[in-house]
Amino acid sequence: MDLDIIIGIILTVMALGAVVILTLWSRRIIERIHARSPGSLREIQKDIINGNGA
Amino acid sequence: MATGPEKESKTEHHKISTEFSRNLTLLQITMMGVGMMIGAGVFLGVGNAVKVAGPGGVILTFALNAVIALFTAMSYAELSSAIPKAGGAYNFARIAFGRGTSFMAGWMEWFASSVAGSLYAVTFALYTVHYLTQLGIIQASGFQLILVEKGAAILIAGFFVYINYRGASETGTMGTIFTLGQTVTLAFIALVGIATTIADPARLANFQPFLPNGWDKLLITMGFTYVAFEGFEVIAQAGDEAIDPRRNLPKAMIYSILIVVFTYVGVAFAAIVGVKDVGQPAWIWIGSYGGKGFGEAISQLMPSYGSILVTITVIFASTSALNATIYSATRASYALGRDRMLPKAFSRLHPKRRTPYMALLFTGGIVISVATFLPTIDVASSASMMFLFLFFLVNLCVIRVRRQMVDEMTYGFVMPLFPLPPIAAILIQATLAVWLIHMSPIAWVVGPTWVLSGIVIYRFYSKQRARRTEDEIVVLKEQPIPSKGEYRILVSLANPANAVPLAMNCYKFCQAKGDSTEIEVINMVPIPPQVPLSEASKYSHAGEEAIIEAMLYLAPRYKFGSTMRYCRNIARGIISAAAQRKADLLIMGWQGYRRKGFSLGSTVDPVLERATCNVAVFKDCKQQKNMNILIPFAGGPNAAFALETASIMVEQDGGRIVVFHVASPGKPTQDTDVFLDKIAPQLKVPRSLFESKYAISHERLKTILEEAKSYDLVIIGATRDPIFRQRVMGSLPEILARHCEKPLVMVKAKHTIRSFIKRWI
Repeated sequence: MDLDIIIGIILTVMALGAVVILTLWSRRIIERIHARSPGSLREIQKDIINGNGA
Repeated sequence: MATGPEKESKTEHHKISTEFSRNLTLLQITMMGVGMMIGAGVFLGVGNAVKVAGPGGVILTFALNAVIALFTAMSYAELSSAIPKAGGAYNFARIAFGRGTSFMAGWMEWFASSVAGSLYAVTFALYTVHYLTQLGIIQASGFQLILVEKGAAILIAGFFVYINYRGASETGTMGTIFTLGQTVTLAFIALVGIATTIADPARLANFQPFLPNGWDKLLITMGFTYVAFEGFEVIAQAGDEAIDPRRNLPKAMIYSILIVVFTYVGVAFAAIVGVKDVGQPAWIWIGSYGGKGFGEAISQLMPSYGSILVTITVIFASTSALNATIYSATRASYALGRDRMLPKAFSRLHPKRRTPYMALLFTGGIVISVATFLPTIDVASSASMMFLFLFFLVNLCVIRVRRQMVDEMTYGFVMPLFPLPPIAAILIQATLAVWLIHMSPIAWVVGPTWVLSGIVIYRFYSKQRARRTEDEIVVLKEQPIPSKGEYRILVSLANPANAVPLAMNCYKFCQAKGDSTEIEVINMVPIPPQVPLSEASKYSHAGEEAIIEAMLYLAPRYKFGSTMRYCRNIARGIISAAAQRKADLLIMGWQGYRRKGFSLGSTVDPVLERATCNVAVFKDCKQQKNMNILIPFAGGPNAAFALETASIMVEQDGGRIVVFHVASPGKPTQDTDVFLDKIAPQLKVPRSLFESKYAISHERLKTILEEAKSYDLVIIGATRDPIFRQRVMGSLPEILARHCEKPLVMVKAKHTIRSFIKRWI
């Protein structure tokens, strides 16, 4: 197996993995914001992004 | 006499509220995005990308593009959750940068969608003509074949321009089913590819050499196939119609990327491993067919049915995407005309069809010209380039809005790792756009020329004429749904002429249900898909009149609310309103006309089948008193509700209700007295009002119609047959409703679970 194939497989797996992880992460953020009712960016950052929320 | 302030207060109390009919579910908007993406990119992209980047390159192209597209999808998702309103990039740019950039966003969106439409028309033509050639139906080659393909592309594009002129569009449900079908078919092809590889691992040798032309070719193929990830603009356009948009729009955008990336990678893999014993490396063989390479490879993978399977999938995928892009492009140019950034002709609506026919004419011109005069690769490259420009702008918007409007927006989603995703997307999209020059120098003439011409038009024309429309963007609030009372009646009004008769009949139900009954009168204002729902107020005059008529009759005595709903499809709007309002009863009128192919009409049929509450449809019920009421009885599930309706409608002083059963000769009759003894005690009228009557006849319809002549009102339960069977076979209640010359009420009792399932599918 040459180097191109190995790098290609690693890149493909990483790309697909990144898509899955970012999708699940985004979904989690959407549900958290929804559970607290949508708010301004400052409130969301305080509650969720900075880890003060559940 | 009411004084000024009192009068004003009363008017204010009964103010007609307006709202959009939000009936697109998460699944439907996700499938809208997936449908747009699958429309062409994968079918044309695989063959051409393999030719340039090799077998490994095509897999990497789709996987890496998905990451870039997801970054842009997150920008769209964040902006759409904060601005859940139709308009997409045009709205985002206006809020972030003002009118000039907003014009450029609309200008690019118009062209990007139009060129994508050309690409779908070309894809349809290539695959259909190729299949017909394989069958021997078309015998052409060389230049003659190109002419046939171009002719087919023009025909299909012209057909969908006409469909859009008529104002018709596929329904959300049908579109969802088609897209699900395409996705499942492509997933099946991917699975066959994996299964074939497991059975014959030697096919993996097709991946050697992995990147025969070097890594740099990836940048070319990524740019070329980027159009296969352009579906989130159409999801953003559904902002006015999606249920819970702040939550569902971002989800749909992100899910659609997840679905298509695995589909694309899977089918690209299947195409590579599908080729065997062709006398040359698989990637060269697939690449030699160019845009048709994917179909050829799948024909090798599944020799007996691969070709027809791919052709059918392409037909469904490309036509539904073509339809969607034409109306999306038309809507973009219409918005520019409406805001006077383009000549007013662009915002001209057809007086009868309400479609922006001039905007459609110009859009159709672009779609057909590009499909006709540009080679396939240049069409795909031009479409990709315009979307790269557009998405570049949207990524800038999300950064700007975050920096400048921290407290002014209400967000349903904020992207993780900000600002890395939009910055990475901007840099990579700029690189891909530059590298596209290696694939199509023509695209680098067409794209920038369009952008430059937009700048010139804005500088010398639009800037002076643009209308100040900032106020339109502020309308982001949804109308709150009032609290649920004891019994809620939803009255659907269509025109002022039938408002009072319906209100009179509604009044009778209110009397029967008590003083705490709540009435909500609703008027549906249908708007063609090409026109934004925010433009609907132009068509609300008749509806307002009808609501005021009903209000005068009902508001003094009962809790009364009224709403005008802007919708794409009247039936869907009524059904979703009944569900959202948690109505116990839906009352609507029917004038007795029906369109060909429907039992009672294109609105009444679906409402009767899918509404999750009780439904009463009134035909010609204008009389105040009903002394004699006939209920044709066959023991169906709606009979009890028909009886209850009769007990409400009948004049209690001297009135009578006859339950009439017609049996076929030799068959047992149903005992209506047993039924009456069971149901009548639950009703608020004496048992003595009810009578049973029997007849034996081969011709049930004729017998009932003859009997009905001596009654004031006929009440009949709707059939349980599904719409398809009703239309093909006919059903007695609906035929009776059409032919009965007496006032008639057709009722349907709620069957929550069955109606819910029908509504969903």
